[in-house]
Amino acid sequence: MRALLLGLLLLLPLRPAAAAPAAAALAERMLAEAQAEAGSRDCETPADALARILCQGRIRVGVRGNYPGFGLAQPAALGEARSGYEVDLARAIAGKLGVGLTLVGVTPGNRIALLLEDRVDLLIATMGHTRLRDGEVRFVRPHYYRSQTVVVGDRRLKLPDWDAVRGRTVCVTLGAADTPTLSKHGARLLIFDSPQQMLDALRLDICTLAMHDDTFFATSFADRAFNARFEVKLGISDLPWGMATAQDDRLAALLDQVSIAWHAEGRFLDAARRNHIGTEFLEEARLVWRDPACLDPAGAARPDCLAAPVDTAIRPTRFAPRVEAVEDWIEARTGIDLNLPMLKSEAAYGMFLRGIGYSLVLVGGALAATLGFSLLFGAALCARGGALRLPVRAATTLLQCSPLVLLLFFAYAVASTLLPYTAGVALVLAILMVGIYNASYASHAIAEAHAALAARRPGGRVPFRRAVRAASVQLMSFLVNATKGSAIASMIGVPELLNALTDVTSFTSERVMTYSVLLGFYALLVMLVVWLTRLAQRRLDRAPPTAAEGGALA
Amino acid sequence: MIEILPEFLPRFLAGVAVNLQIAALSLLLGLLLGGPLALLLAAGRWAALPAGGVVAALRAAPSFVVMFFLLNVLPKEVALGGLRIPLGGLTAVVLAQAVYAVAYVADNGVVALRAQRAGDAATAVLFLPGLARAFFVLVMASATAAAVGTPEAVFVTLRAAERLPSLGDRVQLFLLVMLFFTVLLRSGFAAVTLLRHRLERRLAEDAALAT
Repeated sequence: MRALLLGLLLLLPLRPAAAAPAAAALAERMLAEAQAEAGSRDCETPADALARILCQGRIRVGVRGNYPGFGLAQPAALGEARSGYEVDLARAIAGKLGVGLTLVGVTPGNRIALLLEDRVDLLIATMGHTRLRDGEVRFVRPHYYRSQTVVVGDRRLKLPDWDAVRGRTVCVTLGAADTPTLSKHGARLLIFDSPQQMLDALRLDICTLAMHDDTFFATSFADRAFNARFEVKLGISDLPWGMATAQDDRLAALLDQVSIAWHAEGRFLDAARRNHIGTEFLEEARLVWRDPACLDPAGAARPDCLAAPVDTAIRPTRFAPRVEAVEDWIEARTGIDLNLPMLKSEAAYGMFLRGIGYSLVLVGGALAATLGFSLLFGAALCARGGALRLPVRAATTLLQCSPLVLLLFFAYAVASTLLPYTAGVALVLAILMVGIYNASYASHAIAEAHAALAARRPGGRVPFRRAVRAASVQLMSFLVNATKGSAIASMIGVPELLNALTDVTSFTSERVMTYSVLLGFYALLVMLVVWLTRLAQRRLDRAPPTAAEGGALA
Repeated sequence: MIEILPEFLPRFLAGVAVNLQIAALSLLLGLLLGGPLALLLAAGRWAALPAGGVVAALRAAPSFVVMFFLLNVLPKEVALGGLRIPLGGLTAVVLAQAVYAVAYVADNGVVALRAQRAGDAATAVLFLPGLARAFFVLVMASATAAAVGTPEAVFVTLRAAERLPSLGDRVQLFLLVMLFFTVLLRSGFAAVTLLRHRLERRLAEDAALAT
């Protein structure tokens, strides 16, 4: 069976482009009909976009201006020349229709709006075909290109699988659809407004990895220095790219047939080679569309040979309409454009709740660990024997003088080598390190209180509990510090609220309200801990010393 | 591990300079904003009440979260006349650390002001070594800038550690950097203690001369 398939694959390129003439013939027929109609009818009221283009003798095509290899516009001073694979396709389409070409620069943010506002007739602008966009525009099929989301990083970095991205900084662009995959594996995201900024950050070592379409990285990899330093580490989600028209009309149908013919004839492939972009998809597509089995008797594409659009639709929460109603109500009354994306989609809401849960466990754990280690280290520092006291003093001094971030990554480096590194392991590590760090300060306060009390007591013996009570103000302040510092745990991949909301931001594009919610949550948490510690302090101050604490000091 | 040191050390020292820069700028902002707050706190009840509220809010704000908030909320650049000033990660870090610095200066400043008014110069003058201590605390805290890609010392260390092949090498590098910070901080605190003792001695001498 395998030999038969191999034989078939070897024979395929040698077969004549049997499908091409049928598809091309159909395209010619459709075009000839439209041209005849345009010649015979009143051009002041064209029947559709194709008729209007033929009547006016010009097609307006939206293309990118800053996407190397696909659509690049040189500065106005140099004559505003445009180049790239998509620009070549636009020229070829205008040539096929026998009309002039107007190239219009578009961006991912405005391209669909420009098409729907009838300011362009056709988009060839690095636009992925998704089910969500299917509801807005008509995609020409077969697709003219396909991209894959890839993660790029330094060649020296070992990244065998997705689990290895946990705790690493990954640069992404705002609104990237695939960031939930990174979040799921515990990566820390740095979000940039434009792909170029993201690429600069990767080059400057600001992030360990960067994630974007492989087509975007193609030009960078053509650069020898970039290629020597970086490589593709991981890949996800194939995304077919389609030309798009505003309506499902004759222009779209004609371009469907033209696309089939150009795939079969290798014209897409030639254009890609001329622009030095990847051709893997186009080579596959050429084999597919040279096969007559992919066409019906009329020469149109059979649906099972066409690539399906990608489903990136975000499922709303069941209470999303009520959230939107509240947002509208607030905007109508206050003028404040409130936007709460973390409550409106199931994915974002899930991350939000999970983040809150992790943050609460993290803060609770950090408080318990700070208290526990403070007493433990404090007892060691108050011990009479130097064998215990001196090493603990040296260790706590080293801990006090090291930035918490460094301690967290030290623990992370050890744990990720010895254990399968999961969110749970990251959480436990963070709790331990935040606790140990703050306890290293608090334990010294206990030891100092112990020494001060001992100096005032005959015989110098002071019960440990007495020293703890004397140092309780400092102890409470380090408990508050532990709460304030707990969010640093996000750096080693703990999916607490900061990480969760950064992930939400990366695919919803909303930042101001999302980070305001985050700040409010942590500020409230700190205030709660401050209130609880004050309460505990007041009780401690009121209670008389017990016998175990050695009674009242003389 | 030793083979990376020639490449690592200059970058690391440049990173330490960034830490010092962040701490200095934050403390400067702390003095500019915390000073007036301290004056308000030391003034009458009606001035102290709102100032106290502001200081309490600043004290409760977790700097690390504030840094992310500012990074995402601040505009990418501001225009001052014809000059365009970019606001990046470094600005967010400095402002976030300044939140702590403002609260610290206000808290300690009011103690110093009250002591000065009560004629207790010895306590009032402790404000100066307190500032120096806050500077070193800010140097340590500025390491959180690594989270937003600011190339300070810990950031440089983490990037270098990622490329080391073995756990042993990474542990050695981390311990080396921890040792560096320990020496830096202990030296700093020793200098603060020295400064404090000198100030106390000078005050005692002045008091003796006055009597």
